[in-house]
Amino acid sequence: MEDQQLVKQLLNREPAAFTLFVKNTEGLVAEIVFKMIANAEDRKDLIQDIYLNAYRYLPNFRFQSKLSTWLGSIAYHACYNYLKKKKLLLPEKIEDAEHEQDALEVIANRFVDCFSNQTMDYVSQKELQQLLQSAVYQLSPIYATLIALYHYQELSYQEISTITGLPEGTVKNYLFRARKKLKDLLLSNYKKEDL
Amino acid sequence: MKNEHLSEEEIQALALGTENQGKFYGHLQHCLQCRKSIETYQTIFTALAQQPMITFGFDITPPAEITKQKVKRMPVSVPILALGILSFLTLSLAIMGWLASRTTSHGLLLSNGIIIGVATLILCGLLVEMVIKYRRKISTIRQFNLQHLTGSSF
Repeated sequence: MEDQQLVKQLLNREPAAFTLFVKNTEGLVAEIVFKMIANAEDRKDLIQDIYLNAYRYLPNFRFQSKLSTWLGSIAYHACYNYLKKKKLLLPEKIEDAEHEQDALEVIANRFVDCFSNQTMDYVSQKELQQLLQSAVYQLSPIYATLIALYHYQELSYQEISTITGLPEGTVKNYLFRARKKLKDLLLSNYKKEDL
Repeated sequence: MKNEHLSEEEIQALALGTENQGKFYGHLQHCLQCRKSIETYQTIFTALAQQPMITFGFDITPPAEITKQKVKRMPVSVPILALGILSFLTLSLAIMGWLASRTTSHGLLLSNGIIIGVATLILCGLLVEMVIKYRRKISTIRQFNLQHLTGSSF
């Protein structure tokens, strides 16, 4: 369904349209919220708030972007404000913690075992994905979100820029750093000669 | 041909496919390290793209504005309203005529009786129609809410 038609139905208070709206945007909102917020209860409250705010501010939506991008922006800023309020936007501190380093080492070792296996069968692919998922969650919330938006949701730099409010150049730069960090994280135990 | 290793930016761009590989063909032919780096990134990107979609795992409560359906007053059409008024007036006249005929003639009493009968029938018809319409309205609202409750779970 076209965005305009969906917005019209939502403004007419059609419950079926709200269900469709949630269904269409669930993936994007979930990626943002799950990557940025660790606490399950807080996630639930935030998701409710995001949809409530989206519905309230819907009459102000001017179709300058896709409806999903607009909602993504609401989701991102809701999570960002939550993290700011809780003073959780300190990725370096988290990554420097000793227990986190131990966790990363375990992940990296397992990834090397998995990656160096020449016969990448279904099980190892699945394991690789699990390792990758764990590694992504070790990144700072913003880096993890950018990775999710670009690689899972396949959004363009421009769309990510609209969602996050960051300039396009900054998005590219952060994504470059995030990818590098992710690779380093997974391959920190690789022998140089193996590369 | 480029002799030094490719930069991290170039490796990422080649892995993403946003950079033309031909530009670095000479170097990549003999540099295993750069080729491995590109392959590593490609493996990571492929695995990232294949991650299963995350779902909320719970239902979203719709805003109250949606769930609270206003029960509007029964719409009464103009002809029905006119008919109702006419019936009321006829009935009033019939009652008045009947009261007056008690002291005068029997013929008037009969005619007045007919009027009363017809008016009563019209009134009954109107009442039945109103009740049917009201029930239909309530049923539609209930179905609307039920559809929403079942439709929102996924």
